[in-house]
Amino acid sequence: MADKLSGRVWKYGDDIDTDRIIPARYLNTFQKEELARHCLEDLDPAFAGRVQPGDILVAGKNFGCGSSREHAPLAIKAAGVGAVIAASFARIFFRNAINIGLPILACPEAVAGCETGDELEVDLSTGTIYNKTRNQTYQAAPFPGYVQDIFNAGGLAAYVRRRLFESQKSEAPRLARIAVLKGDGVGPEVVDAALLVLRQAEALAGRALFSFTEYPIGGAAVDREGTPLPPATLEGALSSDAVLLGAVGGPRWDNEPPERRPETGLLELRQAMGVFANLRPVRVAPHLSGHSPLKPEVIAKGADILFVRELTGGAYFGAHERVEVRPGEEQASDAMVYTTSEIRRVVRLAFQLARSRGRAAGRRPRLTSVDKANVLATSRLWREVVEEVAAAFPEVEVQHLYVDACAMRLVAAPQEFDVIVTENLFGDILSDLGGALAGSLGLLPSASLGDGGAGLYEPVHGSAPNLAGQNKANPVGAILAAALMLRHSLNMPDEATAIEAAVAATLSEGIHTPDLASAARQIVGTQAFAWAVAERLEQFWPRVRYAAQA
Amino acid sequence: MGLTITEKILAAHAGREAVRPGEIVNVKIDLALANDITGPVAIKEFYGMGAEKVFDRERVVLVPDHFVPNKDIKSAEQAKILRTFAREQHLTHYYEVGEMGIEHALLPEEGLALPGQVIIGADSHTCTYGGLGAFATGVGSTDLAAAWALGEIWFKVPETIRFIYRGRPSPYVGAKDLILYTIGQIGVDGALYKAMEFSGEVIEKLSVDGRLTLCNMAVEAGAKNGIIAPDETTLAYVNARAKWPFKVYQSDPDASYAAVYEFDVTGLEPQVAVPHLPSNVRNVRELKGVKIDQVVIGSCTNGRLEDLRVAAQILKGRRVHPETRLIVIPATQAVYITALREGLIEIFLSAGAAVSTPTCGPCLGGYMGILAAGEKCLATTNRNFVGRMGHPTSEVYLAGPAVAAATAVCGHIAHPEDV
Repeated sequence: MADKLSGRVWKYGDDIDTDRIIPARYLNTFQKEELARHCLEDLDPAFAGRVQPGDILVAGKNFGCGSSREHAPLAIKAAGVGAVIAASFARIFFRNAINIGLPILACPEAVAGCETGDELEVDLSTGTIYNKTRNQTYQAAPFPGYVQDIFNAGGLAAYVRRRLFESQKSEAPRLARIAVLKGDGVGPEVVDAALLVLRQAEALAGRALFSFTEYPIGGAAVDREGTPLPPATLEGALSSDAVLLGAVGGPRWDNEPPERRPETGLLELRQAMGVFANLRPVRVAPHLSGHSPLKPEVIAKGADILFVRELTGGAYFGAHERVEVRPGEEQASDAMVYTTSEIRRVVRLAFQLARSRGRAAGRRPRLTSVDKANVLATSRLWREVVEEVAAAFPEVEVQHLYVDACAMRLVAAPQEFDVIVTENLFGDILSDLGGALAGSLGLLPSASLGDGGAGLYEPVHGSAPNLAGQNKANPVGAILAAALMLRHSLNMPDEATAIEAAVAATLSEGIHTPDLASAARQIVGTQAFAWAVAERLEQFWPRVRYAAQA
Repeated sequence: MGLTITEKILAAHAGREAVRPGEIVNVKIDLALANDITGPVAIKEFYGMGAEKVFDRERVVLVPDHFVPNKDIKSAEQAKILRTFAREQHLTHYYEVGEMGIEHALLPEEGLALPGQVIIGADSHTCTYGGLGAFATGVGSTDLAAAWALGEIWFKVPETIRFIYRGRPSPYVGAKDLILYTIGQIGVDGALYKAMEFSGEVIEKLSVDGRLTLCNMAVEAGAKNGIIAPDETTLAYVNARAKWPFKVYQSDPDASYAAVYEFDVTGLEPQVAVPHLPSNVRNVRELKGVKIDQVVIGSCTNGRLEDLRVAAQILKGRRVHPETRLIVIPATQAVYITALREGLIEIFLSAGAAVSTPTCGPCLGGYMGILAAGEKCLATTNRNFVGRMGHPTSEVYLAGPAVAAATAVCGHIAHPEDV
């Protein structure tokens, strides 16, 4: 931009708003010529036709008040105006003008001294304004240092370009940190299968996306370090973006004391991560409905249910007591306890999940809240909180069901359900019932989520020690758990959908592990199945196109 | 010396213990939004800067709401630029027609805008989210594009003006009347470059809808942001929706303010801003009898559920005056569907109102209620500049939903009590 300019004055009053600079009816474009043609149209219809290149706009206080439209300084600049001098500028207009390189000067004295038609000379580097017509000189307030920096850099765009260039030089793109906890039994095999699919995802993305770090957990950790959750494992899990877990446990450790039981390690990990919601999606694809224990007339159309189970409250975590009330007569009790905020956070998450599932699937989301409000006080509080949160999600259809009725409907008409949210004990039972609908536990993934995005992802099945090391385990649960991880912790929903689609495509072609042998056209091992999924990933992979110019 | 809530939020996002007014700070951004007017310019600038990917695809929010559903071919092209960008960048929060609402009503509802955040938007009414206790301010498209690329933006830490409201406002006086009264007192540049912090017993009793209305118009006094410290009311609202964890900040008792205004609003009557500045504020009774051709109830200022309830209460069993047109625009789909279930939409239709899908349309003279030469409109919107809603000789009066509904029934500016 030239340091010195000269031109004739066009003078206007106070509080010239952005609507008068460029009326909103012309905001359906940001084409310069079009904006210039309508500049100041509602204030001075003659302006746009008569303004000469280099002319100077002079106005009173608060110039450019109103909207944030960058079209306002763009219109003035495009009309040929060399500079704007005002007593003061509205805040957003000021930034916009600097960002697009329209010279502006705040100088009440110049405004008072100039009239339309005067000839001015402006030195932008010093802020000096000379009125040739009246032989007067005015001094504009200097720009603050930071504004001068943006000018010096050649505008904000140039400044950002430089910053981006520097950051590209200095940092590799940030990788999602994943703690890999393979565990025991078939855990390592199925996790390896999931990792194979994730590596294929990186190949399709054309760059590294993940940084995997492996840590021991469960029986394997007991064997190596004498504890099922070594400190390094815990620290690694807590400092990662997500945890991908296989399975823990096996008969070898069944006689260990509680603190050395593999399951204890998993329980402690969940607690330390603060996960409060367990997600178990159960999808029965129509072509796999033959594996379901339900009759074809009930399940042939398939089912798609997301169980959201509260994970930190209820009867499992209340006081467990056992007292001898009189000799020979013992009494045991488990307190079922919930607070409003414990209920609210899991219910809110369930509503949010229902909303996004509805958007993705193109149907009205439906949420079934399961309780026993006719008997239990915790259930009545649960129901009240669901109603409170429901008000914030009017597009979600809400249904309350008693747990007994829910169990019945799940086997009688599973298509009725979309998202089911319920407390810990009910969820434990119902999600296993739901899992049985699919016909093989090997098909089911699970996610445990807390606040702030970190999560624990694992297949639903156990460590199946009798299958370990035989390349027979079904890796679908683990691969789908990896997909859930992309969706819920790593903000890669489209990539997650692609993996799910690739799994579905593989299964629908009749490529199965031995557990689904009855429907298989081709029986394959754990790793071969993962390869089959990886091969099919490309056709579902989201295409990222970055246009050079929009 | 203590800090104001605005200073605390900026400090936290600058990775600092404290910041002071006048300092320049670089702050991390929690949300960066654009609409169909400002978005296309930002997108062009974004790629022009050599940027390829937005800093966080969950935190860049695009809401086509100004001229959408598309009012003409050019608008359709702009909406398309937005849609294409959302897909290219895999943005999580792009809202298509049918899901979209007026951005500043939608983001709080969706649990995206939360207390303690720094939110920037290429729309001047981004300051609305201050109603939840966030630092939120409007920026231009180039600033936004830079923020999309870098995930941060520079600000000069604003001085804060504190406004304390006491007393018992009369029935029919709502948040809109409070903010119009305030702008009337301090003028359209009365808070230029500053933060407006609203407090006092009257504010504590406002619903979240009302608080959003109040902060929405801070920019009409020239402010960088408006803000209300979160309390139980705020938490009850955000706890049911919050998409992310958030942090609550309060001003310290010994925070320093550029000025403190105390208003006793006992006996305050409903307020109306007459053409052509939001600061030209009058008591509604002074304007009795001004004939009105069109009434609009809606916008990011007053298109929320509470506003529709207030209007419906007055319109119930009544008809819009034969020489006046009434246009009601629920601000979001959620507001619309809830109003439908509550029977409000039926009341509006029975009263002879036109009810529209969510859009900013008429507020800025885009479409859906443009004024002819010389026509007068009373609107619950936020600006009454020359030509704002149509022909340069048309006029806009600003008021709350109660006065708007009463005016629609009477055909002239009216006090709700006089209906």
